Amino acid sequence: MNILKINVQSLVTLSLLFFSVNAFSQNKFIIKGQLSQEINGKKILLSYKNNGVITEDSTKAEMGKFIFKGLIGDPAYARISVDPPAMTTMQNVKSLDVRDFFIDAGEILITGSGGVKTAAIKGGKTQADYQKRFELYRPVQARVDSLNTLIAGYKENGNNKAIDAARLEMNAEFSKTAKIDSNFIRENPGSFLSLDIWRSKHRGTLRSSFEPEFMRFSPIVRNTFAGREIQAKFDLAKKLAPGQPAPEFKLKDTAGKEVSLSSLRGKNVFVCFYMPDFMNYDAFTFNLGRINRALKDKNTVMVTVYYSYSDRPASYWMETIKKSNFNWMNLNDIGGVNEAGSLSSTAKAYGLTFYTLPNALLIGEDGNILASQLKLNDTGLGQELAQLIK
Amino acid sequence: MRKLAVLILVITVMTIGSLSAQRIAREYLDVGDTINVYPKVEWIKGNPTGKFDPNKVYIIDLWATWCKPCIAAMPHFNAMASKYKNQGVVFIAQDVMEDDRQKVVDFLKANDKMMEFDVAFGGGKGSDFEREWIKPAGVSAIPQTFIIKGNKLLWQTSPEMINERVIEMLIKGDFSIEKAKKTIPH
Repeated sequence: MNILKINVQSLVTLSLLFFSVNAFSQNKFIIKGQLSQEINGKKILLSYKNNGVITEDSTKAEMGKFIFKGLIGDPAYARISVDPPAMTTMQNVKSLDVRDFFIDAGEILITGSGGVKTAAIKGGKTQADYQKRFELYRPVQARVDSLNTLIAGYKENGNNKAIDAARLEMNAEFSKTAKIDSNFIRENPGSFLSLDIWRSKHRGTLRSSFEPEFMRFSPIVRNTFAGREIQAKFDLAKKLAPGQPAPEFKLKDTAGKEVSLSSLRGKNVFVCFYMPDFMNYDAFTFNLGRINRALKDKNTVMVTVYYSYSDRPASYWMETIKKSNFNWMNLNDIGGVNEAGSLSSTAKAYGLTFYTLPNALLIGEDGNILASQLKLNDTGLGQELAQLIK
Repeated sequence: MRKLAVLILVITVMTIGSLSAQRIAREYLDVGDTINVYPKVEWIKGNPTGKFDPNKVYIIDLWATWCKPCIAAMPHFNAMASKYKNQGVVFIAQDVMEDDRQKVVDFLKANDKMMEFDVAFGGGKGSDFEREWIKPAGVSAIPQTFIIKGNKLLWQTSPEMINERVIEMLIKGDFSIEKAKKTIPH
């Protein structure tokens, strides 16, 4: 028996066990600040997202010195500001003393002879990576700043051709940041920052085709709270793939009568979960009309399920149906989704959040999904769906 | 009595006449719909299209002088228009969503070489093109490109989806939206 092998195996098992216990536990952090001594008695505001939950804390600086203590799960994207105004406006935005950084578990030092804007921030690995990415962005930022100065000058001279050329160059500069980020992600698969950048680009419905990209992150990164959330989205996408049974729902129609998906068995069902008034909403409603026309002779029931922000009156549903020309079955799941994510059983079963709405599926006569992850802005979608129905 | 009958007959004939003079606006223009006639527009460059020739492929690009992405797509269309002009493919740059005809004329004068194919001015708000095409097709933003062949609307898409492989399919007659989409790398 190879003792070394046993020891390695035990070590791996123990560390995995330790990690799985520790994965979603909260870890302590402490932020120690020493800024200019002139920052005295002023409010220091810290805000950060702890595993998706926004947390705020504040303290007063004494001769530039301050301390924050707290708990975090995943490394947390944070913002710290000195003496913040009650409201940020276009006028005061440039004079704000504010800085973004990452909180890793452990000690973070914020030191400098001025405010936080110019301070050095030393913390854990994620903050070091964040700083590294900032340095990669620096040449682009410098060019964007100089282009902004040039554009301001051209505006004074009324030189529209030069403005257009400068804006074109600015767009080209901005597109470089996407390249910097994709290189950074590829070169740093073990960085939580890489995952954070990646997930911010995929906040909506995660298409299964992106799973191989996700699998390139290291197991530790994939096993974070954020990583597990992403994995759950992929798992859900598999459950909602063509051929799978569509999850049951029971929702109320405009007359208050409960309608279940199973009661529509024997007919194809095009179901679209939506919230009103997003950008290009009119194009969306027009395309639903187009889909309805394409499926009208295909033994299909058209269903739209309404979600709403909490501040909308209940009557807004009927107003929305009317102005959107939704002349088909209308159901609602008001309150099923909020800022935190999916709340109702329907929203959970179909992975509905403010980021993933609108979301639609075509369900066959047998209750199995015919098509999901539909591109609702595609003008040819109705024809494509019609071809799927035999 | 006879006078009354004549009066009724005259009114009836006038009513029928005025009804037939008014064209009933198209309600929808969806993929697969039949389309025989180009709406009334002002052709300011190239050859006017009246009735669609069922044997030709029409690639109609909706643009405006204020639309930068539309203009950015023009050199691409121009190159294709030049390549396929003798193969029964008609490219039309259809100006929409602006009322100032002179602006369009000036733009064409200043960018003569950019659009060496047919150009039409739609006429802006309340125009025949708006009634017969923009509203029924649900066009709320441009650029947008429409492909017509055999008097049918085959595809409503964006200019970057139109490439040589798509045009070859249209000429050969084996076009499908699904196949056309596959020609674009994701």
